[in-house]
Amino acid sequence: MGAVGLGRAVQTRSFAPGGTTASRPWSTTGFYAWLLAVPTGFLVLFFVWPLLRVIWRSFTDPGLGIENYATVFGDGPYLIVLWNTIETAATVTFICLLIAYPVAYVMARARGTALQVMAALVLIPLWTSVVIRSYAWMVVFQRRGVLNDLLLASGLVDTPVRFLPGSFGVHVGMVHIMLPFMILPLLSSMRSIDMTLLRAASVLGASPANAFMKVFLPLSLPGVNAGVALVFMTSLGFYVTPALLGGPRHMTAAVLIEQQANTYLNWGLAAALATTLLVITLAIYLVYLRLTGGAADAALAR
Amino acid sequence: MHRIGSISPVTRRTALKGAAAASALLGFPAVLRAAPSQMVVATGGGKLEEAYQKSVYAPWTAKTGIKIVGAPNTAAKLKAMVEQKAYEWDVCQVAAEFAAQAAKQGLLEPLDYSVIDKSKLLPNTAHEHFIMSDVVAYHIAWNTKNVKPGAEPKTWAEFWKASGRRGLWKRPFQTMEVALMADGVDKDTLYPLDVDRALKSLDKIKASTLFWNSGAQSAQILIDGEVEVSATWNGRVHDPKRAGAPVDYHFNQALFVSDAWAIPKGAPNKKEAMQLIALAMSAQGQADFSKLIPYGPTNTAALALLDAVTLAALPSSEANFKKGAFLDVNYWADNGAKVGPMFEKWVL
Amino acid sequence: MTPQGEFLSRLMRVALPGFAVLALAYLILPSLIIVPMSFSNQLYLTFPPPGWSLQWYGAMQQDLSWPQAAVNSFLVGVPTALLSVALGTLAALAVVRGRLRFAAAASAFLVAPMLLPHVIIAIGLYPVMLDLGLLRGYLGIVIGHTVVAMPLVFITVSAALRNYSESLELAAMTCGAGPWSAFRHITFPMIRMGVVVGGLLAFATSFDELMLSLFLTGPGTRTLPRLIWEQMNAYLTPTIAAVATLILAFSLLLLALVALLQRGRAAEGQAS
Repeated sequence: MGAVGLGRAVQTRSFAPGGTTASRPWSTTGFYAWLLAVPTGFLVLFFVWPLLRVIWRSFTDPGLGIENYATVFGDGPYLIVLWNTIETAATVTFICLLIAYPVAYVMARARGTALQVMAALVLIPLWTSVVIRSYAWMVVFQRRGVLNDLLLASGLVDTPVRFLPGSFGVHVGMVHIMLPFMILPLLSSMRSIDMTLLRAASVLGASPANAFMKVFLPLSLPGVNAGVALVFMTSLGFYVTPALLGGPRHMTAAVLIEQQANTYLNWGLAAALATTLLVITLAIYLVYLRLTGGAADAALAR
Repeated sequence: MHRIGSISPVTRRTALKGAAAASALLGFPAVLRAAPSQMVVATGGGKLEEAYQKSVYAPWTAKTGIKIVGAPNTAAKLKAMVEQKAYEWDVCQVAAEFAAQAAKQGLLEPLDYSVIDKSKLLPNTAHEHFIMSDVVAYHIAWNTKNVKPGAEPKTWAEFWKASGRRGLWKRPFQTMEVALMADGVDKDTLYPLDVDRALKSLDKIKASTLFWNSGAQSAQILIDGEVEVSATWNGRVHDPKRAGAPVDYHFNQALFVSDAWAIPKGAPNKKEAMQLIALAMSAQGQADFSKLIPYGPTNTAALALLDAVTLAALPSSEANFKKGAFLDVNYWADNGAKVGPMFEKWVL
Repeated sequence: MTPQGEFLSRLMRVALPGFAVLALAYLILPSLIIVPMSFSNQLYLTFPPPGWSLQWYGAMQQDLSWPQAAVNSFLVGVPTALLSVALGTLAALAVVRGRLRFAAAASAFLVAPMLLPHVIIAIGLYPVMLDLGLLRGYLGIVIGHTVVAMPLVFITVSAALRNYSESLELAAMTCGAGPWSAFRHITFPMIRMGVVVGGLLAFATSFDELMLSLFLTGPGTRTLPRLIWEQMNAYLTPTIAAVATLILAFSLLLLALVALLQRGRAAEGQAS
């Protein structure tokens, strides 16, 4: 009989008892494994293979050995930069969480136009270029910029405050870029929390604070995990914002690697730095996977 | 067989044999290789590229019919293309201290000075693998609104003592030299650099210094008043000053740096590349370029082709050239890997 | 509820939305600054601009590199979106429906490129692309962007797939539909929204991506983020603000498109 489209089968309602089978039997798992082979092959060729080459180069350029790693872990700016990168990423993640949680909470309870407006305000920055947003912060923070004009006009300061380049500017800029990435997973997770659970808790005698701590907060944790992981790992790799707002004193790993590769032509050292950064990022990713029980995409999607 | 107009068979056969022998001698590919229809020249882009377009590329295309396509001179690409023998550029122009490093790593072709005329060039500008094509001054500049006339720093030592904020390039080359000059070292005895002394000198101003990223930023912070004084490259403030921006500068104790032409090692079209460089280094090519961008020519023959107004703004005019000193590219090629990280660490 | 509880909950009802409003204002602020700046009549970045002029939009038109870069961004972004959709959908189908033993590891692997610093992928891909000779045209950068954009499609399509049970497909197959028919008539209509949103996200990722573009594009294939970055290191004029305003307007259009599509889906009453 051959394969029959479902549409036709439904219309004619004809099915032969005893099994109308497809023209050729096929195994579910085998088929899906083959499906997976295509994207996996693509990633192996264009993701895993390049990474392996970077790691290889870190041990072979300019000569075979670990001299590049000796440089990285020895006397020099490298470890300091790596540590600063991790520290900045952690601070940015923490601040994002503090700001995003209440915002997501409000958005989760909002309906109709209010929700749409809020969603737009979160999504518009997300869809604006990172370079451009960082450039806008430069304009805000410069000596004769918006912020200084406001501070001077209100009499809070006598002379313009020097924000740029500086740690404050970098953090404000990075939090701004990363905030939507924290809000969205939190929002997804919070929206799927059944509000009747909270009402049940209050009926059973819990104060609002208690209900929040014991019911809502734990239920929102998958979103928190996903948001924290996403923001932390992305912050580790940040290039544009620290480069523009931070200057050389606030160099991040990505800026350092690009500089070694492009300005000093020291590919071996760049590869060693990149491998070190890779190991750090992977370690955090594995911790995150452990915490969420392994379904990375499910947690990130919710 | 004799036909009207045909050569005798014997002569034809010997001619063919001769041609075969000749092509074997010259190398079969060479006989088949035709001149390229276009060449890729990598430069810093922006106004530099526009100036080269008018002063060098257009005359080149008129003379040879070969079109020039510009490309950004990303350093990493040079290394990668030489390593993998997959050439994207025919000629490149890079900062001279970078060219010295690249030459040391074996990434550049030795230049053919029988094609490129180096007879009238400033001393120490024609190197084995690269040729310095302009003289750029890294010098003192200030914001005329914030710095009263008479109070502008005349030397680097005064620059160090200026009130308010100052700007310096974030890289060790050039910045360390001026730190030494601020500490009293004479401009002609800078090398080899006393790194410790330079860092100590920089320590005095670290808190009040903005380390800028790019030439554009150095001009921006001066004009905006983000800093009171700054080191900058003369090409960045020349036009704004003429347009009336509140910025002024001088060449006293300036450090001279250069861009350099070079050819990636093993690049195809080597012959045409040498000829292009020869054209760019000719007196006319250099003079035309300096009329568009106030970087001085390294070919002294070009100075005669320029008028007094233009010459006054050029670092390599006779009057200005003796006020400053050249950066020693060989020093940085040999010691950059050691000194660079020391500076980077100090900055953090 | 105790009096303290009453007070606290009323406070929260005011303070929380107030805080949210402040946070959202913080998010939108920079985008709002760029727009008036692009109409400034001054040569250098200043805000607020002392006078108004359209000269930067004019300068942008005259400089041929901007329209070329915009075209390039599309020529890279659209194929990236299409390729990411193809690969991401295949991956999502396999992982969510396939009941593979290593599904968790596979999904962790498929999501990884989105999370790792782009600079590492860039310096790894550049020699590989050079070897394969893919740097002269757009293929190199399209592949590079697909590597980091595909996980987004994988995530959105997986979420859509998880939203309904696979028994519908199984029913189709017991009625005689082959796998391709089942996909076309049952699965795809259900996940269409996830696919489209994933594709748009992939496009947006490519459109905004800087690091890979720095390494994998050549002089003729330069994308907008790369050109903006190079100009910022060379010029710093309000022309960049003009470009930014136009990009912002375009992003708003895309966003409106997604919103319309999602409202359309809700109107059709598809199961969510």
